[in-house]
Amino acid sequence: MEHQVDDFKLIEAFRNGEEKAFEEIVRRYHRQVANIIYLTLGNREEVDDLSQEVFVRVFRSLDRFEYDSSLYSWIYRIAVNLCIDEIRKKKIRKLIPLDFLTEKKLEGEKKSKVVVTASDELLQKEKEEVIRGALGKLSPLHRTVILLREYQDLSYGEIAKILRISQQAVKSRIFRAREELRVLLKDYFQERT
Amino acid sequence: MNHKLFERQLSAYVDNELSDGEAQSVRTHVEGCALCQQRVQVLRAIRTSIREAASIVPPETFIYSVQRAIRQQEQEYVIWLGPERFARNIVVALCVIVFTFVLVGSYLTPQPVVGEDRYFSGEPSDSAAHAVIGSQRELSKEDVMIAALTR
Repeated sequence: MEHQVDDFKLIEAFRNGEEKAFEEIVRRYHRQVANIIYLTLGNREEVDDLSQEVFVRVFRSLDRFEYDSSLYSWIYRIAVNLCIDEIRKKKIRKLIPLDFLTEKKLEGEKKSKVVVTASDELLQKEKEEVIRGALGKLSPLHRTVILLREYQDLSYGEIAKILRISQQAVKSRIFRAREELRVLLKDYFQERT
Repeated sequence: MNHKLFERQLSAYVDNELSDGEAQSVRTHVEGCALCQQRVQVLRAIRTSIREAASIVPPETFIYSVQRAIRQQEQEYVIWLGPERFARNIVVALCVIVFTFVLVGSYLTPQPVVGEDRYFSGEPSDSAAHAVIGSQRELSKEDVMIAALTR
């Protein structure tokens, strides 16, 4: 809440012509925006351009901000809409080759971890790749909703506002996205089913 | 509630999106269910992994690239505004000219006098002749003849 009040002060300052206020807004949210774009599209190369576009749009529309939501959820809405447009344009459904996350591949990775003595950093990178791959297998709607929840830590109510859907729909989509992820990552997390 | 129903609640449970009563009953079930405990662990592990996968740290200079993009777009807008404004002025000027011609044209066209027009166009009626002669009296045969010869 305190953060939100602080954000609203920044918006007021921006409207009064203080350039530093916009710089602060960018500094505050550019990392989250970059990562949500990265995890939604799964393409590192597009992140910089699209993040930039998000903040250009923020700059252009900040005068029309109506204080009916938090600034961050308003910025995420811009980012999510941009990602959805991008997905529609390119019809990105898969972030990685289709065979990347097959059972065989995951099984292979699990075994190789036992045999190969890789550095922690490499293992971490592999893990990140597996997670991004699994996210890429989700439909764009499920991917967006799970990222807003898991990465941005937004409440169901906030996600509902961003995506303009009901809280019940958010709850249901998060449940289904998690079920898909759980199945995709079953071997990775060595879950007993 | 049976196990399956509790299982469906676990997602909202780890998100703290259940009411106090619902959360309490799910908690009680999870404490006594190894499968659900494991499911909760996996859901939390997925969350941690997603956060770890968000590994992008934009450079500190990111703000400058945003400001540069804003300036660039503003310049493009100004360049575009020139021809756009010129085209708009041309359209307005053309509209004014056309309107003026229509207005002046309609003003200069003579309006026909109805009775005279009917008479000179050769309408052979007593009323037309009557209108030209302007007489209130009943028309004689001579009047009609004169009107016919003079038209």
